[in-house]
Amino acid sequence: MWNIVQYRGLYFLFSAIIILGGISTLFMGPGLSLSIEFKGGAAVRAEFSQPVTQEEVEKIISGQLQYENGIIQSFGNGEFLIRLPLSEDAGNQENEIRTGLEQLSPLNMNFDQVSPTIAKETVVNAIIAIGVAVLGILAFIIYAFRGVAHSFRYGVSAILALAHDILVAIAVAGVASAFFGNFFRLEISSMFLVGVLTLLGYSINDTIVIFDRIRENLLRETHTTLEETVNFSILESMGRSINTSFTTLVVLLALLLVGPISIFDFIFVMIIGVISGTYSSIFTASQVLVSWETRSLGRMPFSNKR
Amino acid sequence: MKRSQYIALFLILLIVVTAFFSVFVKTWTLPFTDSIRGSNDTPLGLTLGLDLQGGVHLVYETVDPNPTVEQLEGTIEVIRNRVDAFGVAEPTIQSLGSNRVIVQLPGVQDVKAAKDLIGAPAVLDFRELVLVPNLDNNDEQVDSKDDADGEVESLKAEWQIASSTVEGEQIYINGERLIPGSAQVGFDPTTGSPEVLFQFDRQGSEAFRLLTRKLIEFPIEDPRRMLGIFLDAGDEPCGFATDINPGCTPLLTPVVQAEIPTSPRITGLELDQARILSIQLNAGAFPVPLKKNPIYERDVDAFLGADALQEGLKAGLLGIILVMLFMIMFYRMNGIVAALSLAIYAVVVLSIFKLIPVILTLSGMAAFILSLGFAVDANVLIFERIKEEIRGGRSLGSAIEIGFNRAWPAIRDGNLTTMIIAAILFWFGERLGAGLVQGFAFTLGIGVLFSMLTALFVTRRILNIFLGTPLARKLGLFS
Repeated sequence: MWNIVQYRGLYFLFSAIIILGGISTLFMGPGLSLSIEFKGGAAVRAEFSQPVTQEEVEKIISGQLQYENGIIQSFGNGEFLIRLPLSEDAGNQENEIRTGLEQLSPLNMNFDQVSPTIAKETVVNAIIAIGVAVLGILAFIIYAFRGVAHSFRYGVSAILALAHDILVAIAVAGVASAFFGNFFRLEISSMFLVGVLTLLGYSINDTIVIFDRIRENLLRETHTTLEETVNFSILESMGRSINTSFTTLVVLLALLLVGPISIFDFIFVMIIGVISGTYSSIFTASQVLVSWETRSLGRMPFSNKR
Repeated sequence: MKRSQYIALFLILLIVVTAFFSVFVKTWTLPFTDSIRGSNDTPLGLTLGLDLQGGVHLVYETVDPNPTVEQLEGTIEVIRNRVDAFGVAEPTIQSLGSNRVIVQLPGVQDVKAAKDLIGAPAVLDFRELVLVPNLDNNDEQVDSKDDADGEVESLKAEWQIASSTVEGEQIYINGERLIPGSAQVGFDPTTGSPEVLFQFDRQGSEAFRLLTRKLIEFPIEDPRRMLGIFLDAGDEPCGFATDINPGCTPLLTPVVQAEIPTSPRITGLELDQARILSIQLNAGAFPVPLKKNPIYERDVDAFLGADALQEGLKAGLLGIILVMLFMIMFYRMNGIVAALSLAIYAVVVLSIFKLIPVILTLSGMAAFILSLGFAVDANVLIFERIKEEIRGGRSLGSAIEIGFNRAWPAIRDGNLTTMIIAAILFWFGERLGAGLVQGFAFTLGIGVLFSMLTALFVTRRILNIFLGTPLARKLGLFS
């Protein structure tokens, strides 16, 4: 039988490289940034019919209107995103920018303004929401798996797999914005957060399917050691674990291809997270469980030690 | 088939037909009531949120951080009066936490006018110029006169809220003296320019008459003969001529010509300005004032909203077709049944959206499309089990029976975690992204619940139909 479990140390190493590598891009220059919902400020999306250059927009915003520290992003198709710190009189700021950009006769302009107070609260609430979600899932799994020994370890292993998925999603988003930031806009927005929270609920499903199998096989005593039982359970349920993720990926791809661009953050996080969730249910959650129960990280390929 | 199975199938059929009817007939009246569901202007008659039809989403905060519930409710009432008078169809105005108000104005494109309308307290007051000792020498000096001692005392003029004594009571001449509902837009008979007319109550009229009588005592060239009409200047006096404090620029400073027994007019306004001011004066005063600028603002262009809706519908259709194809390719006969259940699921959920009605937002639409992918997960788990059992040598009947039973714990646990998350998102929704997250959470919750129900009951009933037929012996079709 194909023995997946024995190389568990390798999987942890692989995940660590991806996560650390990706997260480190967040600290290297402009990359993935927080949206104004989390840091406050003004964001103007403007679309122009006639060709308008970045310089023309810059000339109005920082030249004519003297707004400093603005970030102007162009998406090629006449679409611009301008992000600015919020002025003391936000209403006046909006009017000035509206009038300023009218000179370039835009097709449409959309303003978003978030005061720093509400942004700070959103950050706090987001952290609380994630915390409550994680604790809720942990409690639920410990309860659902109360029939097996060490159900606490099942819960914690599942949560580690979730943390893995969220970190991978952020890491990949970091790499994507660091290297392809000019082609699409990706930020940690409220839709990004919604994606993260949805993942918390969804990517746990794959893990539950495999844990459920492990539980069933442990009770039926199909194998003598835990390692063998887990390995057998993974192989048995791998097909359905992949298929359930695939149906979700299919609708996400439909959203990516023809869906609204304004929920791109959400789609991106979900796609990466669902893929990572399938991987982590097999290569993280189950392996953490085995490592914990056996106090061993298994062996590395090409090594003779066992 | 047993009789109970016929009844179950009949019920499913009934639900499907009802749901189908309610989704594809754009508008209809709920039986036994007068309430109408659906709309003629939207795809499938769905009720659309701001981000799909365009409009303004604003969050205001009260100046006082701890208003009472009554004060906040009263303020919401005033905003509602203003918005209704402005003519916005189906606005949403509700409290958010203890000191905030959400205002959603669908279809409104003039964001500036909307913000002028809502945010300002619109407290009108009438002021007179009073000479006071100038304690700060940098201020401009209007007048200086010799004291009795011959010392020169510096004086300055400032605008103070005028009051008169009426029947032994000191009456301040401000917005509180206006008869609610009396304000209206008029046009100056000679110049034709817009103006706002209103009525003082009895005491107000008398106080105003006494004030004008006092002011005409001043010589015509004396600035003190002017009447200052201020909007939202606060309670403090305003400096004369230049005062940078917000609101301290008077709307008007007419020179009083004669004793005025009635109420004044406010002239020299733009038409929009006149209209908004008259609406605000009629709507009454805020029990607790709001900060002038919203703390959160999001506006969506109607075209972008319509685009997003079209793209979302396209993605939904493409998504459901792809999922159906995948299921049929992978699970053959079972897959066809799952595809049928998925279609039923989609129609039932859409009909629930219309029935309640749920306001469909962009994120809600994303949740619904996502749920199309989640919805077949339970079926995947069940079918894999059925495959396994058929491989183990069971008949179709017992494979279906055991497949459903064995897959149930994983389906239950998996869906419950997603519902826990939906509940948390709903609970936090109003404090995250200013309410935009709630639509997602609600749709996700409904989606997961109903997808589980259809996967379990509808799929099973339909699969059972095959049991009595010759197809049941062709096990290859089901595994």
